[in-house]
Amino acid sequence: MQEYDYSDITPLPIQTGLQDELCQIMYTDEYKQLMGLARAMLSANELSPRALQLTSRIIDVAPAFYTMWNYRFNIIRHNVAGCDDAVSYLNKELDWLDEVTLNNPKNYQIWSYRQSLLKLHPSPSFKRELPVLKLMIDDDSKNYHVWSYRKWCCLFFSDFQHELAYTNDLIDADIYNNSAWTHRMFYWTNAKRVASEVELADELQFVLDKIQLVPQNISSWTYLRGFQELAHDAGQWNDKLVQFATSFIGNVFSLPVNSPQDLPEIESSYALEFLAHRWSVDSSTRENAIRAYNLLATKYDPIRKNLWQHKLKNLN
Amino acid sequence: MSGLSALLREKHIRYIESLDSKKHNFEYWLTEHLRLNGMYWGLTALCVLDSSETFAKDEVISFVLSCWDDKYGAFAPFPRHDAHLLTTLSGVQILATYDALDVLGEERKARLVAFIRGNQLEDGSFQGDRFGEVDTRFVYTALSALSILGELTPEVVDPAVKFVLKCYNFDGGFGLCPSAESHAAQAFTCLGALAIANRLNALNHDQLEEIGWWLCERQLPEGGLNGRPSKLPDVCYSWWVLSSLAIIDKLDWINYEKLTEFILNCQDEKKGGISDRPENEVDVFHTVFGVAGLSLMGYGDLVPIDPVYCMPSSITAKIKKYPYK
Repeated sequence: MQEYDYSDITPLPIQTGLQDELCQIMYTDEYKQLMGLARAMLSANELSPRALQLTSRIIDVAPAFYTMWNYRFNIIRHNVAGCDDAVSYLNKELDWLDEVTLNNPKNYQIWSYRQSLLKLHPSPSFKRELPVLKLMIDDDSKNYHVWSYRKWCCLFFSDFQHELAYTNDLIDADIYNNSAWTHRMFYWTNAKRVASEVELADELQFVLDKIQLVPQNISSWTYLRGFQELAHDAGQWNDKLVQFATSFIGNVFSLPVNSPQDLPEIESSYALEFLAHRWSVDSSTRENAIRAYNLLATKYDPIRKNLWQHKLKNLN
Repeated sequence: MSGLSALLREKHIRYIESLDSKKHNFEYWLTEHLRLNGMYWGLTALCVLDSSETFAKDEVISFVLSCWDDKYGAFAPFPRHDAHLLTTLSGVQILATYDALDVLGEERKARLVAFIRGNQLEDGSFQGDRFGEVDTRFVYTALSALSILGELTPEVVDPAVKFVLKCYNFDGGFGLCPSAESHAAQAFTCLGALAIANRLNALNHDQLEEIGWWLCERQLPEGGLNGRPSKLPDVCYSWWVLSSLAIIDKLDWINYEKLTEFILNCQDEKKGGISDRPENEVDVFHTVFGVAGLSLMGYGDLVPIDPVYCMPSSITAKIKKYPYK
């Protein structure tokens, strides 16, 4: 790292007089010096390379200090304007940002900073973003900021070509990954093209296969419900889905009701929930719905007893 | 699990009191950017524990005023930091809790209102500051602060409501922005914003049922609540989820007994404070949301808290209801 001279700057102290009572803080010397310099340069609005380097050092120690991110963006924006090769200048900044990103998986500021850089970039590329996004998701497959940023990229670049295959990989790696399931729904709702009958049928089969593999998974059942709605299924899938869901609840419907504690375990309470909901919308299957909600309340999902009783009350 | 069966009220008060004397601590000053928020969390926890006098009111008010960023006309988390919507709400909440909004004066109040309105974008969303990070958190923050100040207007509210409704997802949850994954904290910010705007009626009956389902689905068999499906439970969701359910009048879809047990087991019985999960390190953030959650469930003789504003109900009762007559 290049060494810059800051000796002409008089560091600004942090005391303001008013806060002495509450906030007298013992700073370590190095941080105190860095902050003093930064405050001085910030108030002089110095937008030089040495100011840029100073923000790197401070972000290194206190990555969530958003004032420094704002200051840094001002410096970058200023220097891009007078720069012969804005592309390499911004790519260099993105390289620096990749490093900071990998070291700070929970940070908020990085992502909007990244968006600002791409908006400033004369020729931004989704492809350039993919490796760092992949590394971040490999490290934490449910990182909310990374997923949200990925969605932003898809919309910003109008590019959805990698998304379905990407969620396939992540669902294969962890079938419970709700972020991957909702990203898949994002794909179907935003890829801006009409899916064919064949694609819809394939996708339905995809989710049924995943449920078959792990029946007690809230994410895949919720996805199934959502996908059915999205596909405007007017009932042609109904019989198939009822039959499918019934395969996960054993023979609980043919057993006596009086002692719930003696009932056997079932493969999926979500299957029972799915059936209860399905049956509740049709008066001819109302009795089944009552039975299913009672089973959920007493045996298969008792922690949500009040919810199931509310559903029962609505049926009556 | 340590199996704690009662709220260690005195210990929590002493813990919050002690935070402010930790000025010599390295972590303390690394979190300057959260200081004003931290002050609000601490004060609110103390209010719920019926011990608001533990903080020296005049000193806290002076500190709030010292965070005023005169360049942008709003509150920063700490002197000489940049003003931000999040910290602006904390500043306003603290002053309102002390019934001291008057100390702002007309000029500062007008600038503050202008700052908040100035951060609204064309689509009705809000950026946290002029650098453009958009998040439903900021919509809530903006509406809540304007509401406390009695300065909501249809020009701000109507597009904000429209934006919030776009963040509603197919699964019954709300995301950080349109099409982002549903997250319990975002359910609170979206429902809270709609409640402040008096527009919960923009959600139909089926949607409210779905939202209630998604929220109570957050409770795990061990009693705690998670923020998203298949994630670990965390005490802070005792606030985000419970307040959301309270706002749509379905609080009892949660099993109180089990959740109470989970929160109490996250207490540090030696130094006080509440952590995210049993046996973890405590902090003020989880402490306030733990006691606030308990208050919503009517635990013991805790002071009632308002699920929309996360401030004592006795204080929020004085806020003018929108639309203004």
